[in-house]
Amino acid sequence: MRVEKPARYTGGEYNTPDMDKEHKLSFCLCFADVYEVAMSNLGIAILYDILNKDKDIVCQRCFAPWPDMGELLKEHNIPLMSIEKRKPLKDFDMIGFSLQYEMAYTNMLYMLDLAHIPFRAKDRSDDYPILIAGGPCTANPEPFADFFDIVYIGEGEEVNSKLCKLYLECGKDKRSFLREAAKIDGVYVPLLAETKNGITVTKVKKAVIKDLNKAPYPTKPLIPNLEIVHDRAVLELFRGCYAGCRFCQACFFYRPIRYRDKETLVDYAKKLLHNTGHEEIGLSSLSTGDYEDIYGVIADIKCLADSKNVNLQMPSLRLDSFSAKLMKGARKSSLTFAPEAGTQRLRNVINKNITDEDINKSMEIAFETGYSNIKLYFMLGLPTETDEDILGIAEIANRINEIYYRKRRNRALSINLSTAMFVPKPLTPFQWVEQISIDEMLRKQILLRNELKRIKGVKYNWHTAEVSKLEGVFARGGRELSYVIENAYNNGCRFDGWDEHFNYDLWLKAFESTGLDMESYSRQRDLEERLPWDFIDFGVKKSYLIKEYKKAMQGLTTPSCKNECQMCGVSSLGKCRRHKGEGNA
Amino acid sequence: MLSFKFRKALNAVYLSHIDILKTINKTLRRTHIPIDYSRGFNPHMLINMSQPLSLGIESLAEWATVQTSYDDPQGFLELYNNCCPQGLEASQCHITQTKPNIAGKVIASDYFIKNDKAVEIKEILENINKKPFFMEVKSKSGVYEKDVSPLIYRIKADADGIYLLSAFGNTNLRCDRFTEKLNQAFNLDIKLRDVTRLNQYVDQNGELKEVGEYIKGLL
Repeated sequence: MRVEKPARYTGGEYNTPDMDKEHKLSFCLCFADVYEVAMSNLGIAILYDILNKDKDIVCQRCFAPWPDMGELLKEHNIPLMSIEKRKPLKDFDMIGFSLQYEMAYTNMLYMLDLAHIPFRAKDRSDDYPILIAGGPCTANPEPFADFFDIVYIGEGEEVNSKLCKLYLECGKDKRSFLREAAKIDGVYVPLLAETKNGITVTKVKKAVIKDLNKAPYPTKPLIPNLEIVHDRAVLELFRGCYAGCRFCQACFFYRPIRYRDKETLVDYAKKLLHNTGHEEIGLSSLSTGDYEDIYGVIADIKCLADSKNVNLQMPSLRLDSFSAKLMKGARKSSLTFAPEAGTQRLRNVINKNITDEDINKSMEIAFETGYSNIKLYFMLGLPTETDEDILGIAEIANRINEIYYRKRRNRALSINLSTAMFVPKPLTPFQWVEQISIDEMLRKQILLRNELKRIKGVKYNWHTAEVSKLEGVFARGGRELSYVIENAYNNGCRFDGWDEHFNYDLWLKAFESTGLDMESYSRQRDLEERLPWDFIDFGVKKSYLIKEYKKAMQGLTTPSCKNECQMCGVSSLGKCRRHKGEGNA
Repeated sequence: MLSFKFRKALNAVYLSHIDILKTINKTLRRTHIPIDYSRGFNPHMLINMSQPLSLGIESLAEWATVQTSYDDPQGFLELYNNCCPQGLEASQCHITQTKPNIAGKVIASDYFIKNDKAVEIKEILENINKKPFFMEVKSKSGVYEKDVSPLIYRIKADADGIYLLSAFGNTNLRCDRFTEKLNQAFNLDIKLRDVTRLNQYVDQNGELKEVGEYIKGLL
């Protein structure tokens, strides 16, 4: 075999829809990472399901080939093809990329290059497919906007079908199609957008599904024939998050908060268990523990799962929603907690409303229930962070250790402590904040590492500083960065999210050759400054983010919007679900 | 015990042994027949598979055994074939009281290797096991040359290709490496996709018996 894991490219999965049906539009759903990562993405599964259920559309898939396969394709001059029918990408009517993280941008170009498709929208004639981007990276689409004909902002389920129908109506006339498409909520056409001083000013409104219960859900998903990252059936409980952690883009991006009713969830769970054969079912949401009747949902689904020898994977829970009730009957493998910061002061700044007492109490319950393996997630480089906050992380680990060994236990405690570097993201109250330098990131990591060495049973993992730096740059940069991405790809960058392929020097070279200063993207922004993503109406008002930013700097917290609306402004796009007894926004 | 014979063909030839095991596991869950699970900390399906086959080689004769109270062979074939991905369809099913231990008992396997040049060296090929035939073998201790002639039980060639019966099981002649050696030694152009496993055999009183026949004998 000349390639590793050839099954990545052969398809033939159970539940594959009819690919030979007569159709008017061919769509290729792309993901700029390998099969195992792509097939674990719920968004891909949802869109694939919706598109293939449309009688006029056949949707196939194409994922980034691992370098061994990529080299072979280049060597033999074979264009990149879809998995299902081996159709060259350039022969599709539409190609949709789901962009999940900044470090996948070069892989997107890698796929276009292998598919023999010119990178920039302006260089592609009508003979080429319409290229569409979607996914969470569209919170700031500017760094990659020049590569795409269309960028979906918001939830693809809402926009996809409308766009496909419009495309058929326009008779494949690209110009008139794009002009009409730009009128649909959630559709951004970079080529047609007006700019002022290099910053886009044409307004685009985020697309939102009003009622999640009525939104289609893939209850007959493709079943991969090889092991993927999340090899399980997935049930999405709700979208959005009540918590309002100030560093978290997903929290604000996926608002308004919308639920699937318990009855709908149980019905989907039954279908998923019947149709997939998976050994495990997982509950997915940003903060699953906040679901109104989480105990009821877990109890019902656990009952279903047990009857079929299926494991219900317990969701990662916020410490304050943690309860012994949830843990009862679950497999005691490991428990994951994300306090994010080491001191109460810093947790207040980031609005992670968890106290030391919450942590202690939760740990006591966890240890009594039988857990001896704890995963802890923190962030370094948060705004206003001092060394004292970093040492606070070690103190938490120390305290957990102390709580565990208060009693005689059969097993040794194992703590896997991971730190990510804070990356200021658009559409968060921290979108204006400075990102610290790589040297400072390394200093903080070393400080913590040395401190943790003294604590028994702690294993420390950290995120590469250089990758975090680049994530920060591309998260908040403008259109000019597309030249850096292109240069980086031409220098040989691809699979940048994979440690073994990441090469920082090639990125430095790319910045150098474009004459752009990387550090200038890490700077503190003025609150009055026009930001590259300000043209998008996400629902959440900028004035709300400014208010939150100011509160953060004063160390003031904002309560969860679970019971009382905090007036972020998202209700202009749709109603938030709040707990019973409270009015809707 | 329910043992079934399935093919590994089309796209499924590129699935590793562990992926085949997991895929069959999921397929069996979709049939909703009552299968027994281990009673350990992480219960797993009680299933046994025949020995691994090299990636890229097609097979018409892979075997799996599951512990179940389900006792309708024909019904199983229908259920299984409705639930399996393309390329892993089952063709035979037998119910036995005892565990057939196929993986432990299999000692040989035969293959058809499609090749139109093999007939030109028919004589040489058919006598290949009459004298030492050295092949590169990889093991944990490294790479070394090994005489594999005792592992080649029978080899025939005609205008369509080569028919090989060789050791398979605990003592094994890897067909992918053997065809690679044939390519080098005789300037043939055998690709992995040209190789098909036809059957697996167990030793019964000094004679080779096809696995399906062996299981029928256990009924």
